[in-house]
Amino acid sequence: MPLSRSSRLTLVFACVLALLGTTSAANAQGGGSLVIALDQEPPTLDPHASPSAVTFQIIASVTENLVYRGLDGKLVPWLAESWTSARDGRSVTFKLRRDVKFHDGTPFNADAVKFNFDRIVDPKFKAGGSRSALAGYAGSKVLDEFTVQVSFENPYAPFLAYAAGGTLGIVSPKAVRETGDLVHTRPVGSGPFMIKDYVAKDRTTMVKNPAYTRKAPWSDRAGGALVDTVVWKFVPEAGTRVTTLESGETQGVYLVPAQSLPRIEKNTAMRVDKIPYPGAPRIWLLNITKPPLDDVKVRRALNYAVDKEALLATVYKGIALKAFAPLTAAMLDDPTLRQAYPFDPAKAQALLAEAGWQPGAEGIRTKAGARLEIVLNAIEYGGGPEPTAQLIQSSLREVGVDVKIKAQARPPWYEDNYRCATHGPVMFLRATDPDGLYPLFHSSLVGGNFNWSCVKNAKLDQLLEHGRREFDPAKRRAIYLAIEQMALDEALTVPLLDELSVWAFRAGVRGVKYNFATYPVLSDAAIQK
Amino acid sequence: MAEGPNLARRLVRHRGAVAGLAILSALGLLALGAPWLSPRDPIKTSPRTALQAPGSGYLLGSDQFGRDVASRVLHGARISLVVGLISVSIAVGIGAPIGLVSGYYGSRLDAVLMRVIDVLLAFPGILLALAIVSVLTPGLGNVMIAVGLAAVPTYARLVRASVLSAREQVYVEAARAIGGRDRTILTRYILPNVVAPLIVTATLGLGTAILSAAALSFLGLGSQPPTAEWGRMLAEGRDYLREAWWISTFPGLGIMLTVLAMNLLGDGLRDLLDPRLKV
Repeated sequence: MPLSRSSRLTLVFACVLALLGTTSAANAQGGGSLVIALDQEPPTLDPHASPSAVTFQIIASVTENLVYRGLDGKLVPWLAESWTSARDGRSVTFKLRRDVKFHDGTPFNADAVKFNFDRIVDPKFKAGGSRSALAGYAGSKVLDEFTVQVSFENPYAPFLAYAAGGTLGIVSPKAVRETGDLVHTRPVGSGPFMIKDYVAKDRTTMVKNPAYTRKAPWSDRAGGALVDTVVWKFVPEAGTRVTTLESGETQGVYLVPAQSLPRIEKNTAMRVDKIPYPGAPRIWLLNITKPPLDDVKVRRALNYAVDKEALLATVYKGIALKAFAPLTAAMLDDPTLRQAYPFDPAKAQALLAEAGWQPGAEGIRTKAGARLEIVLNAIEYGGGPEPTAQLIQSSLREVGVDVKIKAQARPPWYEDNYRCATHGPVMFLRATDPDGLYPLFHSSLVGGNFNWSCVKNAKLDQLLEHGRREFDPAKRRAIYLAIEQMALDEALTVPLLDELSVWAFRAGVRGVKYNFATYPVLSDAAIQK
Repeated sequence: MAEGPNLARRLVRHRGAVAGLAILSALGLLALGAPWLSPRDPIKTSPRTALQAPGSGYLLGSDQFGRDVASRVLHGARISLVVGLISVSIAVGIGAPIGLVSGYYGSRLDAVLMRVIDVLLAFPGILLALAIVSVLTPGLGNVMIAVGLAAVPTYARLVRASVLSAREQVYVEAARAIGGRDRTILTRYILPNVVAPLIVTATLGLGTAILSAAALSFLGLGSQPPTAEWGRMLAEGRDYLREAWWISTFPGLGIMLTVLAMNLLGDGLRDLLDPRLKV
């Protein structure tokens, strides 16, 4: 998708330039063990079952995909040598590599691809994010041992982008058939690393795949991983996680909290990579069915009233950019989106007054005796609720809106979203195609994932469906821009922050690269002694 | 039984109790005066002055949202003291009558009530409170109910034990012989004899209740943001320990001081009122 992602590339270039001054990965010594701390434990390592980004952070160089997509956004061959899309847009035919074996020795071929995709849509299988990546999947046809045709009921433009994403990673059919549930902790792929063990609540270890002699698509050399093992440790507490990096217990951490970032950035023994996430930003989906948010004036007022600079000055200092629309600027950027809602409390006040909400007791507005109360659905993370919630609460109080934070565990949080029970959650969605707007706004997904604005709008549905059918990049961009403008005009959301994928490594760790989803691919990573 | 004025005189001579009382009175005054003593609005954020160290601008520093820690600690004292008092009142209010009735009437009623109490006693108090508050949905009001209910068995057992010995006393027998009704006997002759251990346990229990409530808030089950509550402040400041120790340290000190004061006072009262309980 050649959508503008200039800001993203700028940052990446900055990282690359920082590296050029020193040593390249090729000169670094091989061997050793790389220990990286993550903020969460994955719910499963099975790429097809996982709904969670953390799975794909771990297995980005364990399972391989038909195509690869790096930070430049270009689709390049991986397990498929080449591919052709049918003229009607309903199918893609892949020519596969002939020299690939899974970690368990099973040969990779067209049957394996069919098995994987059929598994995802099998109603008996509890698929995660993978199911929506294969929306309208009609079947796979094995044309010969190394040619497979994947078909859809309707023209499906986002498919190739999704085929490059972690959810459609290809695993060994034999391993799935024989080990059953073990796939949850030990997915068998074909990449440069193999999962060796999994210790719940603690870590998972992956080791070098000695049989990997190919050139990984992100690498400029043939051959497998440089380090012998990579240990992923699960350290939920941010302060502790950063400390493990400083003490040398780990050589890398994901998600450096804003308050520790200056310290790490100042430390010459550390290096920080920041890459803007594609997909939807951290965003407040406004439930437009629940009064008073059924009034577009109130929703627009919220957009003017939320002080995003306050977030960027505090809990998100240095780890996010301002968000303007339901897709991050890395995914789709346009000047019209940036101008939509500047921070303007006076305008918010005026809109609320226009909507009939007059100043009342204790600074909270009222209308016909009712207070202007809004319930924000927030996940309780243990150290407090969703970090944006309290600042939203305090900026809205300034214009006379009383925000109640419903801080709760994940399962009831989801439940409330499905039932459109609150005034909407703050969430984020790591999509790799602008089609990520489909789950957010298509009427068929009210009560499911993730139309938590509870919007049912025929015009919007039509545009979202059109976006899926349109293959021409320029036309696609125009469609998704129109959708975003509509979402802003109707104020279906309050976009908050384009988050950065923030990784810190000890300076001796070289050659860490990132795929389009910003997950690290590690076969070129090495530790300099 | 100790006489009133006599007790006061002895209490003043007990060093621990005096220290406890002094701290508690100070805390109580600060809590009462919080709205006037606070330098700033405890829930007002000020992003541009977040994470300021303690000093001239902010007496005890500012937190990650730029809220004034000193004001929050003061308002937190109000909440903690109120939560402690209400929870213990709930516990005593339910536990004491159960103990009285159970101990006085004995037999089958006693057996049934005490088995129920035994089951409840089998759970650690905080676990029971956790379960109750999860069922009731998080919130400060429910935390008070949960912490109170979780302590009911302790008071029921305590009161029952005292009643068992009191009801065998000659004066109780005498009261019964002259035709006193059960209610009169219970309230006029037995209750005064169980008050001493009850006061001691309740005072000590205040500390425990405050600690439990703070623990539940720490876990996100108690006070909801932006309320300034000590347990929640501890939790919210936890990730900032390296960079901004003051966010959690001051509410932590607040909890420590309050519980210490309750324990000192409780120990003192025990020494004076009920020497038999001495360990």
